[in-house]
Amino acid sequence: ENSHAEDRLLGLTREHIQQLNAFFCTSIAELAKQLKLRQRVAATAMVYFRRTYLCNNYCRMDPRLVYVASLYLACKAEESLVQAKHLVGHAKSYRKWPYDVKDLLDMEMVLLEDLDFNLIVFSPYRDLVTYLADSGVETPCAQRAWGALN
Amino acid sequence: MATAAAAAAYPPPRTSATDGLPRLLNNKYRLERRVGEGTYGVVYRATELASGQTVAVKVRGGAGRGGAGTVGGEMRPDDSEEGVPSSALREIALLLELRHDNVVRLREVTRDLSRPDPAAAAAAAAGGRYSSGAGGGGGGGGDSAQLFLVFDFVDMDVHRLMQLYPALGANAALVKYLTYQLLCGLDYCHRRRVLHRDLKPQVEGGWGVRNLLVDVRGGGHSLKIADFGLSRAFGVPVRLLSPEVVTLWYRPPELLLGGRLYGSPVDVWSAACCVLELSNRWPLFPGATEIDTLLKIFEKLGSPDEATWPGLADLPHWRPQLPRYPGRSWEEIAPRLDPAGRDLMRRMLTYDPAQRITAAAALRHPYFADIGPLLERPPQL
Repeated sequence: ENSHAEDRLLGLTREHIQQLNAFFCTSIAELAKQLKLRQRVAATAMVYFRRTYLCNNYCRMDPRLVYVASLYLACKAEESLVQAKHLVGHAKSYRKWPYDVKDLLDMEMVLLEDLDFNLIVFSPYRDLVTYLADSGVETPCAQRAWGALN
Repeated sequence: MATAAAAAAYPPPRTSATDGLPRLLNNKYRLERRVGEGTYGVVYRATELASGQTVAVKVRGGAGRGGAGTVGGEMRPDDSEEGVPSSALREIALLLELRHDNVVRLREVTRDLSRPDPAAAAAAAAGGRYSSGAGGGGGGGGDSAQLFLVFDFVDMDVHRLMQLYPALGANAALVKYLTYQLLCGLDYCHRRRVLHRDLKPQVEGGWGVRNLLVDVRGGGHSLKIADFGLSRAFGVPVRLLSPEVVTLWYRPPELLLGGRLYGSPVDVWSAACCVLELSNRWPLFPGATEIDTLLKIFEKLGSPDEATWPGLADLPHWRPQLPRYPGRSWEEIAPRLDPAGRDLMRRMLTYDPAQRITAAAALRHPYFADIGPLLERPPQL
């Protein structure tokens, strides 16, 4: 557990860090929903976000910028293009957001390097659809499965 | 990728050979000359200073200013305001996952470190990577989004090989050897869930990046698949956004007919077109338009119907009133291949993508029964 050493020095506990993670992943999901993006785009963005903070400290990189940049990058990787301007507009209306397009693009490059360009994330969404269709389970059970996946 | 000689035959490029890009990239590579221009990005020949090895450097994205950012005088749509183009991201992410003798190797992805580091700029402004909004100067979105992809340099491609050696198609052993490698590379990609989507030996308009490279060093003719600019990772099957992917002549009928759901069979079709072009010394379906290509396919292979291709009627562009052709014999389509080779081509050019042979199955086809000795002693020209 060498990660977040600096965060700990500044007084963040493990719980704090988990809460930050969860909070921004929820933010990603909500922002993605606003933009009517597919689920898997949000899922990919969350993976990027978490990976980024495996090797970074919250006190060094502003998660408010990182979570939007993760989503932006995920859009590109999943072929659901969203204009940077458009995304920034939504981020600002979703929550007070002090950045602009240029910051977003700069952060994109930082994320790319931190993620080492490993952008392909395999989400089991398609598999679950097929599996549920094959297994013929009833709707409540299927919904539980979706809940577990999300 | 064209070679120096081929490049010289094309209209002279812009002012300098490197278009205002640094001649030295990160003190590690010396850019020498522009050797080609792909759908997305310019390729330079370069030397890695430390090792003296020749590499190919492909510049992707960001260069809104200067010649490098324009293709045929037009700005690419996804430039400057949008950071790294998504096609570049996909190409990089996919290539990093691929490591195979028949796939060109991506050695490194880097950016121009002499330009201000966006992270450092932000850090300087606000202590840490918290940007104050005002940010440190320089490094605007446009330029910092430029990425350099460093590949192994391979100076020969299938198209040029065909031009240099007109008798290539008659060299059955070499054709078989190249076909085998092409399918090996393809099978590897498909097993790693990567579709190439743009296999072709030709380049329309003459100025472009060839994507079937042949490494002639050491006497072997080692084929390498390159230019994954249009490729994508797929879950099987794929929901596709645009049927406009494969270059016209190598585009399979399911795409020409407007199908939106496709997968690895697309590449198999294109591969067969490439092999037959190699063997016949003439493109198989050189259509001028989509419908022209389609009719050329029908004319050679015979028109499909619901019996040979279940689901045909559901394709958006299919019209029952399209002309009906009986098709030609395979002796006529592939005169230089042996019967086993013709059978393989027939399977690779099957209309119904579901029945089309896969790259993996093609490798086990009787055509390759005697491939062992060829792999040990690569055939010579």
